[in-house]
Amino acid sequence: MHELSLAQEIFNIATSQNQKSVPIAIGIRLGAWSCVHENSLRNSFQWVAQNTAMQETRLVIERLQEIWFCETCQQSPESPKSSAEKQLGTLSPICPWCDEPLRILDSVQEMSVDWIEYSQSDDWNNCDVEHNDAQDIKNERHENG
Amino acid sequence: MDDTPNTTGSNEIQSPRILQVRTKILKANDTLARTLREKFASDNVFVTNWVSSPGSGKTTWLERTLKELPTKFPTENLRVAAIVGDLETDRDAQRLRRSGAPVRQIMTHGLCHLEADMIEREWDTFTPKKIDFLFIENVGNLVCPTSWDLGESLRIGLFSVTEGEDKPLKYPGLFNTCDAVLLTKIDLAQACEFQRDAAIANLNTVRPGIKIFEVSGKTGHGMEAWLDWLIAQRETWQASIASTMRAASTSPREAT
Repeated sequence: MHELSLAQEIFNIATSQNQKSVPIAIGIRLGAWSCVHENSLRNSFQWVAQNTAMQETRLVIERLQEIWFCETCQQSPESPKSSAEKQLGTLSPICPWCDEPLRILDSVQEMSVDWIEYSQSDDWNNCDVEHNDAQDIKNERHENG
Repeated sequence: MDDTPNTTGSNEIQSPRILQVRTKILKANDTLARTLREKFASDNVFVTNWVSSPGSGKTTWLERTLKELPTKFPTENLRVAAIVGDLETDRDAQRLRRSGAPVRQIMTHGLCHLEADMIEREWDTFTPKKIDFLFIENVGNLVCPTSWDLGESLRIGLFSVTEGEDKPLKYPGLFNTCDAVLLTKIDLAQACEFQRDAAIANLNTVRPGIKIFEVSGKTGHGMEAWLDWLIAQRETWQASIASTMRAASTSPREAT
């Protein structure tokens, strides 16, 4: 459900880049624990972008692996180590060198727009369909709820 | 995809093929949350954001906290308030108002989490803003609230013994973002054959060193330690703000 809010923000970011041409792809980085379902995000973006110049724009999602870090050893154990299995449900993040608990790096929660690929020919102003005002959608959501 | 020849970090109009953006998806929310945090600091309001699954006992424990925090420290003359989020109804707000504290209900009508702009709107309705503790009870959900910063000073996670000791492993994202966890309904632990040590180990797996309180909204078990901790956290927060302000006020002179 929250993927719809994220899709709206991605749309807002893409429309605020002050570029002449229409994005054909948007690169998204998602941390391993970002709690985002990729298909749901793609579907939500399609919904947000429908009837706009970006209705054909696709999301290219890169899922980041979690990275553990040992404060004592000041390094990250190489994966896979038996004492730092990455599979959820079998987490045992103990440093293989000093047996201290590992800290997971903040990138595990990352959610970012990394890059936007633009077509060379299309122009926002030449699109047949009108550009949705992204803020209108958000305002409408708040008015309804 | 060929992303090397035409890559640019500039936002100028020049029709690049690939534009490096590197922007947080929730930048707008994060920016507003930062503004809110500054506003709360300016108003000397210590804010906590409570997240958990539905039925974990957030409202029960919050009602007791709202009632008992000011009475435990009568000389402090503490003023408490709450904002509570649910999909529908104001039932939780009605319950929390029994404590005597001012409470605002946000009905999201389907949205699965609270966002910073919702908090800003509700905060603007508190007049006067002479509040020492603001408690935000998020929508009951262990997934979606994870990513939305509400301008809080601390995020408090709750999970009840009836949910099972492996809950932190199932939802690591949320518990990883918490500053403290309330292990609720501890009075039912024996009946549920709750494995306390496993639960604590699992919490430390996703957030090493996290502060854990074992509490019961029914018996009040753990309330004293919880309130003492809240007060101590607020004092630490106030000292941090004072330190930041001192640094800000002295840095221009140092520069000259």
